[in-house]
Amino acid sequence: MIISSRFIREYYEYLKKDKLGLTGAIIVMIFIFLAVFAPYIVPYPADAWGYAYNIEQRLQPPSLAHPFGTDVYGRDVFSRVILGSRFSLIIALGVVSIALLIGVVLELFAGYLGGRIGTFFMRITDMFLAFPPILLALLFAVVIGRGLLNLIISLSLAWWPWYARLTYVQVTTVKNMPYIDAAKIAGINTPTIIFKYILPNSLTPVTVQAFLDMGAAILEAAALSFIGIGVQPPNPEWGLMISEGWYLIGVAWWISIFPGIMLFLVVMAFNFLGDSFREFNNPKVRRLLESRGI
Amino acid sequence: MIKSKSLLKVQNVTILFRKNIGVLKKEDMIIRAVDGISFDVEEGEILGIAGESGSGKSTLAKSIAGLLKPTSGIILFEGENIYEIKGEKYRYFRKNVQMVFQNPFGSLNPSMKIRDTLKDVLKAAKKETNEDVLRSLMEFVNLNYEILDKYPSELSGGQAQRVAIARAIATQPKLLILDEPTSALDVSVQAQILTLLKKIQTEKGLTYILISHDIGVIRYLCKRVIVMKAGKIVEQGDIEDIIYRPKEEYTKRLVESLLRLYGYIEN
Repeated sequence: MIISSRFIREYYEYLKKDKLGLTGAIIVMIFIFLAVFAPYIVPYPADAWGYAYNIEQRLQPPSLAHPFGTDVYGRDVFSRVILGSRFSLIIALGVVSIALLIGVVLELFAGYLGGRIGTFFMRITDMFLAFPPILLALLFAVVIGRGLLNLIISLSLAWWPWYARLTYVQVTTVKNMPYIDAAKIAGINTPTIIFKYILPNSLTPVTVQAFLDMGAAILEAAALSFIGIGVQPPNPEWGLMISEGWYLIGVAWWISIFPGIMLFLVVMAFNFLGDSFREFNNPKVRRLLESRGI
Repeated sequence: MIKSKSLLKVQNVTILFRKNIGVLKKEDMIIRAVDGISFDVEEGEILGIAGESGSGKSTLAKSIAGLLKPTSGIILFEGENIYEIKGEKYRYFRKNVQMVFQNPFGSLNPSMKIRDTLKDVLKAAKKETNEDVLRSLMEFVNLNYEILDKYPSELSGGQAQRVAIARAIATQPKLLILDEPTSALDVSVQAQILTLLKKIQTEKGLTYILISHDIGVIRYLCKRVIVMKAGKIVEQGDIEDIIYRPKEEYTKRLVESLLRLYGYIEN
């Protein structure tokens, strides 16, 4: 199973040798640390949350007091960028886990039952898959309204079909494995077969994909916030901060550039980590590693 | 319903597979995997079913194990049609007919430790799942207790197949279906597994249906053999007769291919 202490230990051993993955993992860990502790460690918490307006300090370039400068309301960009990690982390985890839950549960049953019911659910999934996710998310966001929670819901609604498709394919493969037949012959009941025999063995591809998608979820959420239908001011979401500063890019480049750099770093780190996780789960790579005693 | 002393009665069983090959309209290609087969298995007997791949022997095995309802014909276990019984009788059938598969790794849940795999089976058969039971099972198939705490991927082919056999006999069945139990294993391991299967049969008085393309394997365990080709029985009878005096061309080829293989090894 993908979530076990043995698995985590093996992945840790693997990461030690995969430098790119390790870089990703370190940046992601820093990112998670910042997201959790941001309000307690930033120099100007009130600026970070956007409650303070210091008009006399507006548009100051980077300095010792304000390492990333100040924005149009005189708020410390550094504090806001750091707190922004919290929003991005909540979005990434929220979107991916909700989408995983919908996709996996739905297609686990559809895949196991197969036949007409399976086809029916798959066609619904295909309908969603016919649109680019950002377009669907845009539509949902406009319909259900703005804000962090609605942003997460709209992105998850656009996102689940990818996991559904992967799960469906995997479930239909796994349910024909001899160990499922063996379990049936032994008289093990259907719920146990679904949750203990099929589910754990169908999760690997979809978990790898979820890992790879963390960065993409952050990026798309930032895009929606950028065009004004995601997280709302005065919250310090990176996409929103970029949009708040872009028209001043000629006079105060620091307002948009620093959230942009953070966005870039975190998405890149998630991609590195996701890639290394995918490589690690690749059966060929694993076999090679096992034969070399790792 | 016909009452009989034989443990298993297969009567005129036909299994068809439909495959839609039409591009726009519905057009089915019908594959006759098993085509009107009948035979009896006596209690305590080892029946061999031989045939090349694609002859329908594995499909038949699945059907006898209760996983695949025949298109027509009936399968009786102790006089009861296995696709009609329900409740307590069905559980009795489930407990008493077990199967060992060709690929030992494919037949063990890769995400569960051996201990949990065996426990699930014992639980389903409403049997004790304590350490003593598990250990005696392992002992019976000549495996170390340490195997209990391993995952299938950590085992060798032979070990995995022993575990699969342990799982099959855990419910104390009367009939064991062995679907190519040795063909995925190394030659040296094959012999050990066959010896083990023979030992279990003698000690527990089980009834076996042994399915194999390897006449040599069948000869080692069985007296009576059925030769299948394209879903039909082409020949049946005593194994020595089949090997030395095959009536059908197909049987002759099956035996010859085997002799050629062994001759090749000796040279």
